[in-house]
Amino acid sequence: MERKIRIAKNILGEKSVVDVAVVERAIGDDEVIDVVDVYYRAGTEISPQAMERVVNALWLDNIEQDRDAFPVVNFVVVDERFKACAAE
Amino acid sequence: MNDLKPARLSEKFLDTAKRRLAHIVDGTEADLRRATSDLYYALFHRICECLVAPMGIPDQPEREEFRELFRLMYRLPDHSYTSKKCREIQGHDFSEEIKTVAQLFVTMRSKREFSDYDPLQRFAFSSVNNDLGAVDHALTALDQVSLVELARFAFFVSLRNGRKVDVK
Repeated sequence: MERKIRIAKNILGEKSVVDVAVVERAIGDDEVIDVVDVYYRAGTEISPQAMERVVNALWLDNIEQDRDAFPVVNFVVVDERFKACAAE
Repeated sequence: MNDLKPARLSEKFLDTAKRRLAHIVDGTEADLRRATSDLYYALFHRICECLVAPMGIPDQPEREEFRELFRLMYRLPDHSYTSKKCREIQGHDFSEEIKTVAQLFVTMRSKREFSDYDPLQRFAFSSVNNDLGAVDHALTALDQVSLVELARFAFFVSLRNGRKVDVK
């Protein structure tokens, strides 16, 4: 997990990223993906390009560890982490 | 398709997602789930539109032969196969704009599965709003890509045959 946090911090900023959570999930017939939640501080601007770089870096990290799992990444403001639904 | 120009459903799904998130103050988790689904379908229909774009609009678009062929071409992409091919695209000769859309397609397809079928999956406004920004940015950037490359991409992720179509 430290590797994932380091990757996110390197791209989004040391102080911006609070935590990263990863859950492996099966999807479809024979596909396994990583569902990655990147928790960041409110007020941090995350550009589409930065999000794409995080996904690419996490995927490359998986491949380097002989895992082909594609990372499906959620970029979540940390304040919403334990809310049942941010909108409610 | 009664007008001369068929509706661009990719734009309509994107606009619908924007409207859902703009009024989220009164919204529910279902709104976040529907917006996620809208974003996936904006990407899916953009690929369908790339397939039919080279057909243009003939002199008599109301002719049934044209409408049938249009529907046939438009409905070529299969969700699962297209996702598989989008994962393969990084090693192929396509522009960065197309590779970005392909990567987002894989991501949003998984998120759409969760949004429509997994009652235990939780959705956060910030996450869905970030997805909206990413899809909007990627689809806007795609407008800079030539129609020829867009068609090449659409056929690459849609056709189930062994012919190589990613050669310039």
